[in-house]
Amino acid sequence: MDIKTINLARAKMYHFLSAAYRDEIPLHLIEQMQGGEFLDRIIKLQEVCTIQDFCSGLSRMTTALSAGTAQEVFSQLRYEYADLFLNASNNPAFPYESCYATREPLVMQEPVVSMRAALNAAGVHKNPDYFDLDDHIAVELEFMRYLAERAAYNDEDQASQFSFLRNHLMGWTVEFCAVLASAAKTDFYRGLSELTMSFLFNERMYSFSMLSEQATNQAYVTILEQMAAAINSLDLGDEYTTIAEGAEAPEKMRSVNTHCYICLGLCGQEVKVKDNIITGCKGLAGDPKGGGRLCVKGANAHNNTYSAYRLKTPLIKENGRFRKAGWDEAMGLVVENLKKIEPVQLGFHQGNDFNMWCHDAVMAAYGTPNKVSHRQMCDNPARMANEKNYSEKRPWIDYANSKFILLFGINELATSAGQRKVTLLKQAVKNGAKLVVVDPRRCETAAIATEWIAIQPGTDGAMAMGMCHTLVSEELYDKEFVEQWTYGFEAFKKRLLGEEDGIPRTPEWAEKICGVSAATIRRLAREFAAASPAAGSNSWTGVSQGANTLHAVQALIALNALMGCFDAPGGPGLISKFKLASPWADDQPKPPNNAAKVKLDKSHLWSGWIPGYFEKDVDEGKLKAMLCYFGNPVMSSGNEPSIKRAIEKLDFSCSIDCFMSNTTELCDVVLPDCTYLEQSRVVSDWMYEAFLSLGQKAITPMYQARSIVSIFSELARRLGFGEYFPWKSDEEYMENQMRNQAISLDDLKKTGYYITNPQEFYKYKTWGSMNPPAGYGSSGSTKTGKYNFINPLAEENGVDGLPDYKEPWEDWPELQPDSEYPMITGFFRVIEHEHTSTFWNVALMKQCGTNPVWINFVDAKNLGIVTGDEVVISSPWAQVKGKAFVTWDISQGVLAAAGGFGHKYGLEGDPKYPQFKGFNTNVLMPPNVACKWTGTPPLKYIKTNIKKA
Amino acid sequence: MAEILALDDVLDATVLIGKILTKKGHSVHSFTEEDEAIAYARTHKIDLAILDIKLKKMSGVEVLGMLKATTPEMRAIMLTGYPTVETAREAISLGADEYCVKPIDRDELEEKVEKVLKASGKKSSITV
Repeated sequence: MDIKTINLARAKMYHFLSAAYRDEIPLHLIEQMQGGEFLDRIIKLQEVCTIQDFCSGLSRMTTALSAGTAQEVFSQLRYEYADLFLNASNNPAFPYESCYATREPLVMQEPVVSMRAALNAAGVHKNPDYFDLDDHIAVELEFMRYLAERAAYNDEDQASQFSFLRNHLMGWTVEFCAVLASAAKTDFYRGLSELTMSFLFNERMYSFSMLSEQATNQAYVTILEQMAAAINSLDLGDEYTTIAEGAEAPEKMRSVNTHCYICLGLCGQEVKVKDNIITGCKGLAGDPKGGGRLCVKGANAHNNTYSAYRLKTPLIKENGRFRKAGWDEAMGLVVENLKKIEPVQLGFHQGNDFNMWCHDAVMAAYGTPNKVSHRQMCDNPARMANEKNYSEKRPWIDYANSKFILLFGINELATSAGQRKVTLLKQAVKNGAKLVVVDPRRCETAAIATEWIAIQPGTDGAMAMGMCHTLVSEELYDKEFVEQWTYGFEAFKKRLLGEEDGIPRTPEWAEKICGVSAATIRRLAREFAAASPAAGSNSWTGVSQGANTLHAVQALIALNALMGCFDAPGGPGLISKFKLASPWADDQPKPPNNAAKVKLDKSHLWSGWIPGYFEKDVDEGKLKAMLCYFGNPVMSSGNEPSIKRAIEKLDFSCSIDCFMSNTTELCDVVLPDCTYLEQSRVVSDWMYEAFLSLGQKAITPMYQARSIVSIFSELARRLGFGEYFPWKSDEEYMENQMRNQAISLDDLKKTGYYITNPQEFYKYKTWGSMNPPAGYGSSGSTKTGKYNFINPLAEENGVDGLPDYKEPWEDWPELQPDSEYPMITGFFRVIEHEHTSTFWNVALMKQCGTNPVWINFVDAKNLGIVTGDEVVISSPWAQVKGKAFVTWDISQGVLAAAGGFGHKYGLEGDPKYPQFKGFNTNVLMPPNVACKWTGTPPLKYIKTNIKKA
Repeated sequence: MAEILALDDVLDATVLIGKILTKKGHSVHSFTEEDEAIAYARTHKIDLAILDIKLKKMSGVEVLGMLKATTPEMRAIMLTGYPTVETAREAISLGADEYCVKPIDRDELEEKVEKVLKASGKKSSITV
């Protein structure tokens, strides 16, 4: 063979390999490869081939191709392709050079930049119609084909192709082929990995011989000749698929001002983008929520977007396995199934609320009343207390001016909701404010606190009632505020003094329940009173995810009401967000609300879908299908095995998500969502000021992912409501939303935020009510206009609405610890993770990649457990394994581990990264339980025992 | 500059590696016998081992495993005349940072040695 013929034969080989990697192997190609000229030539080649891995690779591939009919082989390879390259399995083979530069599952790293430069220098660019990335193996192989063909036809110097071969392809394909061979379940892809590796090593040898003008290895030339002839019999097409003619100069660096949406904190974020690649994220200076700072999650937010585990195309489950699907087919299947059932039989579970107005409107038009967010599993007791007793679910304390900060179950330093607030809290402590943290665990915030109160789990209500008793019985409370701005004080006083039931809620009474001494409770109450009104008491999930905690939240928030702290400098603020206008312009028809006025589940105060009862609702035939938007109910909504069974029993389920998860794996259809950095929205937000917060798209959506507005608009169109979802772009609906604002969308894009109202104190005095005025919003409202000691909804429903301590097991006797299960287990939040959504982000997993179970030193000593021991934690309902972390920083009788762990996919599930592994405490919960008052499952009150494994 | 251990059953190969890397200022300790190389590594600080996969008594992958057991932070480059997917899997799982294919290319060797010795060149642990 002359050099031109050799180059053309090499190009054929590159063409074949590129086609094998770039997408599913098409049916017609399998039919051609199963017989005829291709197979004859391959068999002949195997007889004379002396290159071991090349022969082995061919043999494996042909064996796999002969294992069934073309259709059977096609189906098997489709499933395998989805598992290996579309992240449908837990062990994908990432086909990107970026992933092997550091051996981390991250795409769009430096190799993409150099790959683009190489393409550009050769006068081509990655074909934008090809859905995958620039440094995909198919692109690099096709680029080699291009260079080899150019060398053949133009008689060009070959140095450039050999340079690319050695500096790009050879630099990572050894590892890629090793990973592929390890992950592949079929001989086809194992063989392909061997063939690829062997071919490229021989290419390297060939390059040496060409550059040193030595003779080419004849055995290799023979292989090339035979392979080229065999490949010629296949219909691969002549056109380039992954690259296109024409150089494209890289775009210049730009900044995009947006807001982080890894958690609900929405800290301002400046995203640096070069050539449509995000190079980093930093805090947006001056932003009211972040104060120019980001936590570790926000600083690594782009590593969520660039996680190599991202879902890339729609997937449809077939014979229990996923395969690639087009949007049209996948959406068609979703709509077909939604039309098969009654809308009341669909549960819509939204873990994410990006542009919630859109997906809620589509679901309402479809007609399902069963919409649920994460509120039931998060802090519904706090919301049902605060949103009814006054006007806001979370009364953030004005830390800058506070003298006494009392936090029940909020680890501010590790929780979300704004880095500025965290900074202000730290400064306040430094400046002498008293910080008291009530928590069974010495969390990060307790570690900087003046006092850590190591309370027994689930007993916060008793301590708060003891404090309220002191304030009232010693007449320390703010009589003027109580008289003018509260409702129900006399009834509350009666309860505190024991006039209802003969049990005064004294500090001594509280001590017996919560383990905190009466003297301490009394002293803290007096100190709180002395610092008031520059004092605040607040709680979050540490209390709410216990059991039976509605009344406990009412008790600890009542401290603020008794002392007139609301909206005082240093007290908990009242919220007034300047509302956005409708996304629908005045001349655009609004969609109908066809949702039936029925409630799937009921508790004393909350009605609607309670996911804690998911399995029960399915068993009773109330739910037949689920549509889930970026949620992971399996891991978070209750007992994990029970929720899993519930979804498996459904007739149909679809998940819209960025990643395969313990929930998406169960679904019939999975649609690839954009991360927040690939889509836009505007929200009205509040920290201490009211402001507009722009979530601005930083890059175009990756792969075939679509924005949530486009997905739901398409869903609406197919359901027959398309006319109500008319927007052509993100800008169109955002401009509609901002038509009542003093700033234009274009100007907001430049700044990222806009303060509509500066911080003000005692707003209720101006408003004449605890509710904000018309045009302003908050998450709740008080029907009396005052702070209600008696929860008005409870009062309406004829149930106990006064603050109090309720035994955690009052409604669930099975929850009460006993001699066999004496310890209480729960989970806690860590700064590195947000719920279950960050476990595909290698940067965060490297910071926190496992969750040892915290156990008190005394408990551990009694059980013979030391740090690092494998332990088994058992409840009456399940067992989990973990590793022990022995510490004084947790109360005796309590076990806790970081939440969100226990994934079957992402870094925890991937056998390539065994160093990342944890467990989910929710597995231990009883199935089908939820708070009788609020629907919240008792995630942090699970009776257990622990033993050395 | 780094302390580099080079192990290859072919003396010429270790000499060539020594010449290339000594010129770059590194101290190169060359061996053709596995036992001697392992014994040397036990008593001396080694920043980087360059190991041929095909040796006299053991495989380079086995030697890598032994060296990594005592010095996990040591970087490693595997040399091979003809790598297989299986040896690549083993070597990667044991923590080899790079592969170099024989015949040794001076530029490639220099570049890979420089890369793996940089802190930023450190790769994550992966099991395949």
